[in-house]
Amino acid sequence: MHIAVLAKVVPDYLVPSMDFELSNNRAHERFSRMLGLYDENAIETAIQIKEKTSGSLTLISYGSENDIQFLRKGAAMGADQLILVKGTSDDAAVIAGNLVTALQSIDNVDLVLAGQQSADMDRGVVPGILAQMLGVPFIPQIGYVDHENGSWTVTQITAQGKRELEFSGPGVLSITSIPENVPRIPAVRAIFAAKKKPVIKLESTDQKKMALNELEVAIPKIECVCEFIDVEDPGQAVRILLNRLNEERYL
Amino acid sequence: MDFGISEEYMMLKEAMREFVKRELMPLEKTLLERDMRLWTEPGPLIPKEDSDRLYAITKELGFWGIEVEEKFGGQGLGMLAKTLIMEEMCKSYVGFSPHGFMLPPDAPNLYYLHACCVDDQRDKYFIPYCNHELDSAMAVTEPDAGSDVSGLKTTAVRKGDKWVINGTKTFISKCDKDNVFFILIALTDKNAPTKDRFTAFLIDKDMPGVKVGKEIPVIGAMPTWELILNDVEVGDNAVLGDVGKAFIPLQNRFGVRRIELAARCTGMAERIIQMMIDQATTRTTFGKPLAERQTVQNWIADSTMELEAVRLRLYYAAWKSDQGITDLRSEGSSIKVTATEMLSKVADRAIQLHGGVGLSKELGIEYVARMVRIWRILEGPNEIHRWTIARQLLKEKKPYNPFVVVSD
Repeated sequence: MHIAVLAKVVPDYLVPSMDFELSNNRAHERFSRMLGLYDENAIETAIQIKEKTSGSLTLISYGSENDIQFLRKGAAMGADQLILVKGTSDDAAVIAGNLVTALQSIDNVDLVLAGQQSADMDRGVVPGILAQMLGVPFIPQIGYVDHENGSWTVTQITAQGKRELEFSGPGVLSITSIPENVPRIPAVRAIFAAKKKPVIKLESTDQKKMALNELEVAIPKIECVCEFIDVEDPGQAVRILLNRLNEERYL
Repeated sequence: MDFGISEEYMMLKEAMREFVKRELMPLEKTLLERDMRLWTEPGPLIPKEDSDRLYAITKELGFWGIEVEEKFGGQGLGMLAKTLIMEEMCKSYVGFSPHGFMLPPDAPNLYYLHACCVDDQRDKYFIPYCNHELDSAMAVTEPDAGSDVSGLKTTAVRKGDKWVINGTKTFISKCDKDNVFFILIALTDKNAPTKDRFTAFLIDKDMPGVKVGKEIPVIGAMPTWELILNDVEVGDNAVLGDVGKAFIPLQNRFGVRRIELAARCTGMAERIIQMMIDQATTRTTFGKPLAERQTVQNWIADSTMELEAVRLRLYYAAWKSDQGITDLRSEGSSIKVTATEMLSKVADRAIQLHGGVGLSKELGIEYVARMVRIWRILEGPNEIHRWTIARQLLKEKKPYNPFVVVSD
């Protein structure tokens, strides 16, 4: 069993948006960098499958060489090797194309996992484009993944409920966060072993860009508008609050 | 000179930071509430089921014995790795307080026991100690003797093939623990020169004649007791090290202990500076955020300068230890003094910056202020350490030399 996880190194996503600062339409370089939030859930899910099936795990990323130090956390968690495709594009099609090249450079990938959306761009489109390029099924927002008798059973989780699906052969799943895939803390020994795991660097290849132009990037200003919910019972207050947030399209 | 840090060390820090966030921060409220009731309801600051869980998780993650050699079940990563991990752990009150959560085993006592335990002492004390089945406490201080040990009055008198020990020790920690044994220093030859006068003994809590006396409430969380020894009879197998040589192996224990204490202070100082920044940028008075007041800016700047001065000296001492240099008396003393005095000042400014909230038991800075006040006396009062530093310089008639040449 060989699992590949697609991960992206992003600017610190814990910085409150009111403290966020742009430089050339991207996060200012003073923000520290880290593995994406859902990407870590995807890595944890993959490690659990790897442990159950005695398989192997490759972590693949598209970005700069400076990202390797942060991707190494994935190796400390349990990935066996890292592949970095060196590139700077933010175009989803270019990223997906380059990740496909990386996937094709390794043999027999049985399943590809990715975080359900990156922690910086929040698009969630790269895994879908990539699945189409590979000609395999793509299923987003997956919580649970099981492998039995040569086929995959997966559970898609949304705010409204869940849906169980089955497929066989390779596929691409984007992983959401559930209590069972909270990323493990790497153990001390594993941290030191991670440095010895192979890191393969690939040059990026020319890919067809999406036909669109970025015109403006802006961070919304935070404004405080205070409204009192004048109800004694906390349960009822919560219901009213939820309704209001839904009406105003905040949820 | 290389001030870079390796990827592995950064990952160690991050792993501990995550453990602190998930496991220690949620217990801060419990610790602060328990601390308020400590003298009327004695007991641990963290409930047993929680500390058992913390022990299990940290053992699994490999945080036990970072600086302890692999042959004793440790990780063998040295003092710099230990320092970095301690700093992260001490950004929570639970990790900062030695009465909250501590990573076993306690290395200074471990090495002391390793250097001195012979024959069946290894099976009875050393191995269970390495496995965290036994805990140890030093029993040196007496009403008439602290840093100046020449006033120690507890005696061990030879009677046939036994030693008979009598005396009263004070400010002895861990006396409430069931699995504790004491490393007790007693006078064995009152006519010998000071360096040959005292012997160390291994004393079990349940030996006939051993009695734990009253608890001594102090300014902060430092539960200590009187320990009374009334005709306690032990054989030669209770002698730790050589007769008359109690203090020689003890010297080696201190360097590492002081690096660890200083790391507690620098870690917590960083946390408190973060609290100062958060308060200064969110609290508005008379139409302006605190952050725009010069006095507040000075508090934050001074605290940062003082912290970083201590921190570099601390990393230097830890690095020196990792180079195999064991005489760290001057470095140990200087970081012990500067780290405890730095955190005293930082905590005091942070209380002032927070105003009434700063004084509250809910925020916890006052807990730090009380704890660090203890540490300016514990592990040798800071004045004794200044004396140690000055004595060495005046003896050598030269200023301190920090340079260690590293050959390629």
